[in-house]
Amino acid sequence: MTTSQQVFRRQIRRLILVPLGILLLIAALLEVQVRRLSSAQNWVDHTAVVLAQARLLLSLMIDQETGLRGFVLTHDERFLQPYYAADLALPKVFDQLRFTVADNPEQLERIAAVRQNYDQWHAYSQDAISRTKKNDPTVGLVAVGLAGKQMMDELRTRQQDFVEHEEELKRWRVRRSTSAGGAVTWTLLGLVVAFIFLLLIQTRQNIRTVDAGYATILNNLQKRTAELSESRERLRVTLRSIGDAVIVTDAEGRITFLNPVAERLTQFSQERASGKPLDEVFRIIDEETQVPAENPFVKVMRLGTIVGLANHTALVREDGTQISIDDSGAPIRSEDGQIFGVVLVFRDVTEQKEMLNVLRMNEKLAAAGRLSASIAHEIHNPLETIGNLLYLIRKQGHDNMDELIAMGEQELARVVQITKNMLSLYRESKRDVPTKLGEVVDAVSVILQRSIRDKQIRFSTRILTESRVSAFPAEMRQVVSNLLSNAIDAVEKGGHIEVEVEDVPFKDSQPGVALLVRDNGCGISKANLSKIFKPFFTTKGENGTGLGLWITQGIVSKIGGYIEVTCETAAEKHGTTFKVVFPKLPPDIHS
Amino acid sequence: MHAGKILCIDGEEVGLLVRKLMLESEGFEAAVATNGKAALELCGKFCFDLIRLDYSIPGMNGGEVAQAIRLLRPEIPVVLLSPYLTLPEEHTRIVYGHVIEGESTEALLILIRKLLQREADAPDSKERRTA
Repeated sequence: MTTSQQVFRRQIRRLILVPLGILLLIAALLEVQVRRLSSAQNWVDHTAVVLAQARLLLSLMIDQETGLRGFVLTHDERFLQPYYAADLALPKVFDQLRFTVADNPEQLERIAAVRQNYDQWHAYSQDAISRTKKNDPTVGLVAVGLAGKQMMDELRTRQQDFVEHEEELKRWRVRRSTSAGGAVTWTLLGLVVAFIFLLLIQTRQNIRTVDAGYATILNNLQKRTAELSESRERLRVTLRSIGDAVIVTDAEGRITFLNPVAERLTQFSQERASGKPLDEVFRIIDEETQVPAENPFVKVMRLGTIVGLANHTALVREDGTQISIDDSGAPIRSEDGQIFGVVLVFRDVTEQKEMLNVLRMNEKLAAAGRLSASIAHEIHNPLETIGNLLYLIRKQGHDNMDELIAMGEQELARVVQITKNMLSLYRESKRDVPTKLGEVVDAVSVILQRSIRDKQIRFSTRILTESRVSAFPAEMRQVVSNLLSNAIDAVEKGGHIEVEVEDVPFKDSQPGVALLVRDNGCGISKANLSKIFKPFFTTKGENGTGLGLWITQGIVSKIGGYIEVTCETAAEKHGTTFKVVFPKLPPDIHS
Repeated sequence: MHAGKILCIDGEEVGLLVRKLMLESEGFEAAVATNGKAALELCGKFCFDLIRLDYSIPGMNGGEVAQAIRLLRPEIPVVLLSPYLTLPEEHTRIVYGHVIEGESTEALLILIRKLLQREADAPDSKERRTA
């Protein structure tokens, strides 16, 4: 842009400067020509002066001759008056003339010749006058007239010669002056024509350059406009064909765009939604409490960053039906950082949620299945013993019958104890109740005792607190059972597992209670650490569903707790610690 | 004349004691071991006609013990008991009977007798046993 601007300015400058230069040149040329013309004119004037002086000279000489003749004829001295007057003036006139033609040696010579002739005549006239005064009879009119005439004629011829030359000069000079004038005119004309021509060429060139520049700019502009509209169109098409629902609002929270998915989910068409406030079209509530959720536009404008929706958000459609959605909102910023709109992206997660629920249920059943096998085993052993005892008693009243019966009672008590434990463990509650974390750990440890013993694991529990957590006992059991089973699977034969329950500070320095499960297994690799809470991730091959930790985390976060995993894979002190922290219930709440 | 020598392997001592009493009352000679290691030591010292093995025992599991016995005494039939419906194939393949826990005492005795009878009918093993 700047370079084309520079080119443009240069063109404009050239358009002004070049004619100015040419004009100056013309002025200089004209000056020279005019000088020449005026000098030619001066010479013409000079010639006129010379001629006038020559004529004056002639007329003075004629006056003298006429006066001389009159005097000789009449002897009246009054006739000599013009003679004397001319006598006084003539030398001056000669001097002037000589001075005037000083530049021309030829004419000077002629003047000198005229002067010589005149001096001869003057001498003769002086002689004639003095003789007349003395009344010399030899001085007759005829004699005077003849001699005088002869001299005078010669004088006149000389004079004429001078004048003719001067006339010649004058003609030549007038011609020259005229030609100089013509030259000025022609030069002027030529220059003007040349100037116009140059100007035309230059202007044309400039116009062409400017035109080309302008055309380029115009072309670029058109191209850019085309590109812009194309990318706009592409963006629009992209937004329209995106699989998620997209809603765009302006800076006032009024809807400017809805893609077809958003139209389908909200049941508002683009035409109807356009210009409406966001919360009229995009009504969201908390799925569980049915309380309206914060308008995401307001939230984005308030925080100025990308925001996600809270869990369990439902969209209330126009017909009143609800769908679970997963949503995020982001500010749209201009280049200078001003927010000029908000874009919302959301999707229908109803199916996904249902699917996850089914998965959770399946895992619950699978866990129950795994547990029931170990329970069956626990119960079977004493039952088999009792069966054997009864068989012995029935077959042959044994000598030590009392002993056998006592053994049977002992085994029966064991079975009762186990079922009692199971019942207390599986007594389902329909709502969350204060649950002692330590008790859950003890109960689950009993169930897993066999696996622990079979693997010769050094298993220790330290219950340091009686703290309670508000939870569903079955879910709490699932959490503990999942973590302990993982630890049992993780350690080698003869490994160690330590379980601790203790009071710890929770988030925001609230009281909390923590469950720590520490094993000295092989640890979890860095690559796997990020995946262990994802569904279907397992390192147990066919023996694992990959759902245990995912479910565990789901339950823990539902209760409001969190899980921390620390891991050591170094050879000398390898192992994994799962720390689950729950918010602790105040002691006065339990009933 | 004993009906047969039986080795019982289980983790629980009370259960083992009662089982021993029951088998002896049926005329069998019974020995007991509470883990795989002790069982293998007994197998090395004595000749048994049948081994009754629990899958869930401390230390080596029943399957591993069965594999070790198979190497040591390939002719002895092993009855494996477990609470699980499915066990690894390499363990079930090598035993004479895989019994799901919960069978009655009588059913177990019938199985034991049947296995001992079959063994008695096979001349090879009879020879080896009497040798």
